[in-house]
Amino acid sequence: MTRLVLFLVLVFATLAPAQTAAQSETPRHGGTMVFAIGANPETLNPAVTTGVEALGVACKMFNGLVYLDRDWNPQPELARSWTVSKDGLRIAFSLQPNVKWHDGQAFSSADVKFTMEEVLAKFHPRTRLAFVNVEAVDAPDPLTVVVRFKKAYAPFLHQMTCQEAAILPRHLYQGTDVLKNPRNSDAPIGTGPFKWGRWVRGDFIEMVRNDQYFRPGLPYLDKMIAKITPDAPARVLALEAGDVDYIQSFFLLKQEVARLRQNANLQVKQDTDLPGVFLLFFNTQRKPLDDKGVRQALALGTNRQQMLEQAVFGLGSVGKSAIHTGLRWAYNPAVDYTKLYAYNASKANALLDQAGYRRGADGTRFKLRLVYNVAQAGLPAMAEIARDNWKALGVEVSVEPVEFQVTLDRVFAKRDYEVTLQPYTTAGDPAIGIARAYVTMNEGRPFTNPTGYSNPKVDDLFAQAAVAPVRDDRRKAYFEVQKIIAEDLPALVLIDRTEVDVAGAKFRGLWQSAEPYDLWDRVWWTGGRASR
Amino acid sequence: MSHIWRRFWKSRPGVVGLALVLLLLSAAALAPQLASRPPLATSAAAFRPPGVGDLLGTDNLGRDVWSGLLHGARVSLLVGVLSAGFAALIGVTVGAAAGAAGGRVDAFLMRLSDLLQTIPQFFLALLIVALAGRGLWKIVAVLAILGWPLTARLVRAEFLSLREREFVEAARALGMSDLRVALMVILPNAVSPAIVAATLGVAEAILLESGLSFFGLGDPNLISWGLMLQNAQGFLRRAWWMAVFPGLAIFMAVVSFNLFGDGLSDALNPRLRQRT
Amino acid sequence: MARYALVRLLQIPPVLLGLVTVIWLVVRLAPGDPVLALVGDFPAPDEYVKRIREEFGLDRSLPEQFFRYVTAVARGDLGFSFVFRRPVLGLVLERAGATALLTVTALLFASLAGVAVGVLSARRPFSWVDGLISGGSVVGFSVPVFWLGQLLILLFAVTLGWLPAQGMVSVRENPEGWARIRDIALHLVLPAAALSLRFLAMTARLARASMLEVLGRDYIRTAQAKGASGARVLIGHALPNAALPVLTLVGYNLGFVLAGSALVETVFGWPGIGRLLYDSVFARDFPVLLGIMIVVSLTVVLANLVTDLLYAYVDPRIRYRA
Repeated sequence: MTRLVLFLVLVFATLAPAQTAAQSETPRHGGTMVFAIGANPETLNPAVTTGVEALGVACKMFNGLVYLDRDWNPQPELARSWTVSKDGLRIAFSLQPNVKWHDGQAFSSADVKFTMEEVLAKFHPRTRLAFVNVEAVDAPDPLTVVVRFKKAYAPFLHQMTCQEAAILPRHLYQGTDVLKNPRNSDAPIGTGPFKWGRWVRGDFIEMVRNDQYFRPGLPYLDKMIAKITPDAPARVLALEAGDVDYIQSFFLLKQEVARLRQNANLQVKQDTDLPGVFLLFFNTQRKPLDDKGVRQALALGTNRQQMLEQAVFGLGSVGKSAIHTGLRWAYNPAVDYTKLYAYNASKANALLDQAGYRRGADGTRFKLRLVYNVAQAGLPAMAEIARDNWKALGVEVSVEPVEFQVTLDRVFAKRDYEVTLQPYTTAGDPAIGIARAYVTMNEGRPFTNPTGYSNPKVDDLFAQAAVAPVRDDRRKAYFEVQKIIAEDLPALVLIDRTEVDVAGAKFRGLWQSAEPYDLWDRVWWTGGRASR
Repeated sequence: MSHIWRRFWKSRPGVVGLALVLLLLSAAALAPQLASRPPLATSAAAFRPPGVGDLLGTDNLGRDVWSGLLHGARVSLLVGVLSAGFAALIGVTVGAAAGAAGGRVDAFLMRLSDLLQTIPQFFLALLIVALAGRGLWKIVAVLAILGWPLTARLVRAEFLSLREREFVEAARALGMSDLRVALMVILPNAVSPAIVAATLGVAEAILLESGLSFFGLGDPNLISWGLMLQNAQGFLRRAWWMAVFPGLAIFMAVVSFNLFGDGLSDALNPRLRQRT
Repeated sequence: MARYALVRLLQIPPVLLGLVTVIWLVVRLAPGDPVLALVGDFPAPDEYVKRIREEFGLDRSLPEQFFRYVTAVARGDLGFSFVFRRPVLGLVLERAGATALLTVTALLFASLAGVAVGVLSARRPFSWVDGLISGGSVVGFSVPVFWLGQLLILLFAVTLGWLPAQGMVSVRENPEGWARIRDIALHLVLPAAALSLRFLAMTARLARASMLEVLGRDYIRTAQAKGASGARVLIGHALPNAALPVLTLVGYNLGFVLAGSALVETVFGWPGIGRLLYDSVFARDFPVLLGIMIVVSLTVVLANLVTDLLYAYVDPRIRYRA
């Protein structure tokens, strides 16, 4: 008998360590996480801004209808489920029951209807454009919202995240001036996993656990603190010293990444946000850039690999096509700029000769002005490399680093430039972030197509792809449009960027969404308690 | 004149300063020949430390630091000499006008120079360049416009003191007109503090220009020492040579003009020397 | 004395007005539309743009804008930062403490050390010590302050690791009380050292010259003939006379020191007005640039005033000429 007992004891003894090992993967409760942002958020209302500081703070206190998983598929958040009609003209959302606002009021479809009609459609810089396609929003019962479209708009569902379409409390915003509402700068009320704590201006913003959060057991953390650190090197130092636990890509000095990877107390993650690109736009309304051959020659003469290594510290890949390779379903593998426009200075020179732009007595063929936003990381180095690369082609470049407002004025409004460098986000779908760079734009709106390039076939294909409800149809259109753009080249994709976040090694559950603003309810700290 | 030269040679700092200035000028003049590569030429060889092949190392875009120093000398000297020169010209004119004319003209000009001297030069230059845009000639113009008050005051003071001296009275007694007296008799004597001020002004202008470049307001199409230092700021840990050498160059340039100016001052104004 | 003080005080408002006018004019002629900066990343509705324009009074005529600005400044309202989205005055005041700490420390150190060095070289004029110090002061005067800062970081922070490289406080849990003071002091050493060098050189030169001048005077020789020791003469008689020029040097050169502080703060990430200047130049945040210019000019004008008054108090001859 004793031998049996001993045996059982031994068995348990050997099993026990295995149990604790499994346990370390079970989320623990409690703890505070400090994340660094670069400045005071300009507002705490996520539905009217695309500011990274603002969203970084506000999206911990608010939710969207969905979030995007790592494959960019929408998953339930405030919307429990949804159905899309075959013609794409109707989406019905079924909302989560028992969701409460932080002040105890019940959340309902009325909040969604109000936010969509009175806030997003009027004030959100990006999503506003999506709502142009919307006919009406109905709230037939407290848990159902129906969006009816004038024309189908395929990416709509993908835009219903916190970043693009956070839901605001109707009972606090209806009848007020949405932009001037005092809740925008103090004590906002949301549905999110964390609620408002306090804001010590210039220092930090504290948010505490929402015990009434609609997902049971979540969030794991007790507190989240946004530490305002305007100095970029200081942010990295703070992370290494353990005073800050997380830095989002936007706030991270990319040249430090290599060093941070060596740090055992930190975890570095790539692809932490919807990808963006660095674009080189050619002003096709000016000679000699109106000649396709010249544009292609300049593309051939640009050492994009050097740009990737020296300007972006290897964080990304050389651009292959108008559509970011990360958007796997839409990228056309038959289009590859690294083959089509592989760096070859002699070929470029030959092409320029062919185009009729011979070198003058001093070796110069023509001059160009390169305009870019001096404050955007990576652009100054890219400009220098481009200038140097093109010198070998006999093209003299005058570099014009200007401030942001002047960029908007000169590049987009007045088109007073020959070449410009711009960072564009894809926003996760070609219809949102990429089409704008290539479709006809005559009104001088910022962050659209400043080249003057206008190809009705391209416009058509992008428009088709935006409304086709079936992904395969969209894919067909995108595949074709990429071929045309690769040939016409009004803009050259220099680099497909990847975003990189860094966090303390003691935090788990990060980066479960495609965007850095969601799912903070799932983040946990290894030093916490086993249960609430 | 020769006695001035003799006095100058006696001043060791002055001679050293002159030698350095000449060295600097020749380096700048011969920059294309002495440089190993065009200064703005990027390459894949980034962050190479000083050594064989890359004399003083390369920066984050593979640009050669040594070549950058040589070509940067051109920019610094050009801006320094031209802006100090123009400032001196303006200053002498204004100072002479104020000293000679006196009365309300004098009062107005002095008020103006007061105002300009109150706002620290660096800040005002910063503001103007931030607004007017970057560019070599703009910087020269701004520094010249901000730099004249000092020279003007010196020249005016000389004018005022010389006005009452015997040789001026004598010239007037001889029947020379006021203007001729001013131009041919007083001015040559009043000019020596202006020359010293101009030389020291070159040093100051070089510091100002590199400061402006460091703040990101230099000419973006030219390589300059200040710009190199601004670039180095982000890579201090990784590439010390990006910061050490351009700064050393600025230091040498400024020191040489300061020493030279001191020597000139001793030579031209022996009574100001500190002897007990 | 009181009359002189009054006259000088009355001169200040017109000077300030002149400064504000010059500065404001320079800024308003800037290219670029500041409103577009507020509007953000994606095309904004026209009504929104219009509201912003109204809010910042950018839809009115130029003279009207100037008038509004001047009256606002008189009230203490320096405008609104487009980039930081806060009132400028608050932004500047918040940083003023850090700059004051840095500047005062550097000036204090530079004055004391400069006088000491100057006195030392005046004791044995034209000796090798004197020569060394004179040479050293030209060197100190010629070193670009931002380069010096970078060198100090490379040596003391990166290589030796003795002192912190950036910022005013450690990034560890905020220390309290004495620990906090010690923390700030450690961070202060390198930036203050860099900032002080130029002024130290100037002070040393001036102190030397003053001391030599005073030492050469008759009453000193008399005291020495009477048997007073060298040190007593130095400290009791010569030093007080040399002190005044040094004080006036501080007062009249405050502008230069502030300029140096802007550069030093940028190199060390010191959270003062100079760092704010760099950030606002980078972002072309003109309201902040304007605000800083005005605050700096005001400080310099006040420093000049105080120095003038001090000088007049000590040297009565000045008063009567005013």
